[in-house]
Amino acid sequence: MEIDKKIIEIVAKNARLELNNSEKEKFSQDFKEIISYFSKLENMQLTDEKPSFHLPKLSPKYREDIPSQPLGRKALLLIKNKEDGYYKGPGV
Amino acid sequence: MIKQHLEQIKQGEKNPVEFAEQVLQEAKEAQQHGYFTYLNQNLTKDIKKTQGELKGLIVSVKDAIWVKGMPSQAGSRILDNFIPFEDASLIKKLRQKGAVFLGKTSQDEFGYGSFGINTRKEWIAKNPKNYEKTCGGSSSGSAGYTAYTKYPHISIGESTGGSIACPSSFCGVVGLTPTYGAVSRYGVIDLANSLDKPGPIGKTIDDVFFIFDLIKGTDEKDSTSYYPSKPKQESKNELKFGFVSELFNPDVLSKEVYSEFKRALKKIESKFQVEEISLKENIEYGVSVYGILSMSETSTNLAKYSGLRYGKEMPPENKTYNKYFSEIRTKEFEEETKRRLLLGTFARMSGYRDAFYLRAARARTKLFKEYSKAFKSVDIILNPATPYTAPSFEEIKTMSPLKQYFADLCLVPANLAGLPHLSIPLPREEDKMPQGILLTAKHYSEQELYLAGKNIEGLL
Repeated sequence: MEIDKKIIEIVAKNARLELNNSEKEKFSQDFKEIISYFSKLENMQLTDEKPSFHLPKLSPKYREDIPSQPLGRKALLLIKNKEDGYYKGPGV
Repeated sequence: MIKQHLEQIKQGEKNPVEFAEQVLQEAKEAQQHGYFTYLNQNLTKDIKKTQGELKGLIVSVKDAIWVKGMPSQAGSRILDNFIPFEDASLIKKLRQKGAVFLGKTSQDEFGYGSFGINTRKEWIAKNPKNYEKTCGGSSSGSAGYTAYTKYPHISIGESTGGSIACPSSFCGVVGLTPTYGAVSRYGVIDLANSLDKPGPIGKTIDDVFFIFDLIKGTDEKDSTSYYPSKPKQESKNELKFGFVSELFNPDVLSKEVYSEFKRALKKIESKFQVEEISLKENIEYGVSVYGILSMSETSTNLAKYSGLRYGKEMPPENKTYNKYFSEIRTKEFEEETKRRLLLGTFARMSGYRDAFYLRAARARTKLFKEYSKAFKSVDIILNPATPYTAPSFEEIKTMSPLKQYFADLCLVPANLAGLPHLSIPLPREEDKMPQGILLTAKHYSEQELYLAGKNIEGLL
């Protein structure tokens, strides 16, 4: 698989990371080695295996849908960028 | 050790406040070796206020696990200033019974690493056996301090691909990684949701299982948590052990670990039935499957670190959302975290998803089938916990990222399958670095793991 700086740039944009040129170069080299190793998975014989997203397989038991005490605005207490009880963020 | 200590407290033979003062004093001295990200200066006040069966128990906690009122930042700068407003469910259970918390232990950022080096310089834990060497990772501070302290101690670690057993092996302590879901993940800062497993690290087998019994159980705040109220007890006259042939190989292990494991096997064989088993595909593909799945999950989990709702912030004025988000993440994440974010994002991207993420999830099913087959003939699977003893920080610098991922070669299979496993230190000469032997059991068979551990510990 061809891994070059162009792919790293696309991936970095999706991952919301800004990389400088030397980082792009370094991560390209790492990608070549790591993706090449991961690609050996192509050689594994798979037939009717379904994907496992958790092991052991569980049937989640949810609590009853009864209103309880929400966290409310506790989570806001620690941040500095706030105004009138709301998060203050950058423009969209 | 812990039980006797608590009994001495209960009988008035030990004063809990004096004990807390001694522990805190020692921990302050230990801080120069990087074991803690935060030390609780109010420990003695806390211990005065507590009541319950764990009165006198002092616990340290991996930085990724919430302890109310203590900074909990998973070894990351991006979570600077984050102080949880409640305890993780497992911490709450211990606190309600009277335990107190010494502080938060150092780790690789978000658990990304096997050597505890992917974090701030002052939080890189040094192995108490040789300060030039790593404690292992990612629960580096937990294992390092447990080995360092002369007092009875339990640390709560967390494993995704080997982060309890690896540092336990490198530091010469006992690490129990429970069945996936046996201990609630509520309040554990995610690395990879389908793999994260909190568990105890201690000085003895009895200590870690004593704590496991207190923290296990289904939790309504974590829908993936479950532990049977009456675990299946199989009445057996004798446990049957199997060793993994692919991991008993001088090409895979260092010479030192190979001969230590060989010696241990001989001793176990002198009293128990031991047969050779194969986990060929787990060893051949485990690191790839683990890498792809854990990094994919990581890349979505870490999307929430945007510098908005918790942790590090920047002035938001005059910046677009994307610019703000990208800038703070770029500035605050460690290099290894960025590497894994990039790899995980790549594995989920259109055009690559089927070949990497979905194929790895299907492969995971097949790897588990290989374990199921092995457990038809044996009860406990044995292998060395790590392929080599703790490397020096200088040696680690010469390893490529891929080579570093192979530090967990012996551990990722059990972690991928969510199987409970226990690392026990092998007895070693005074001048040698510690090495652990790993015991793996079937899901929810922690009791069997305990019996196996107790049976072989005297033999080793």
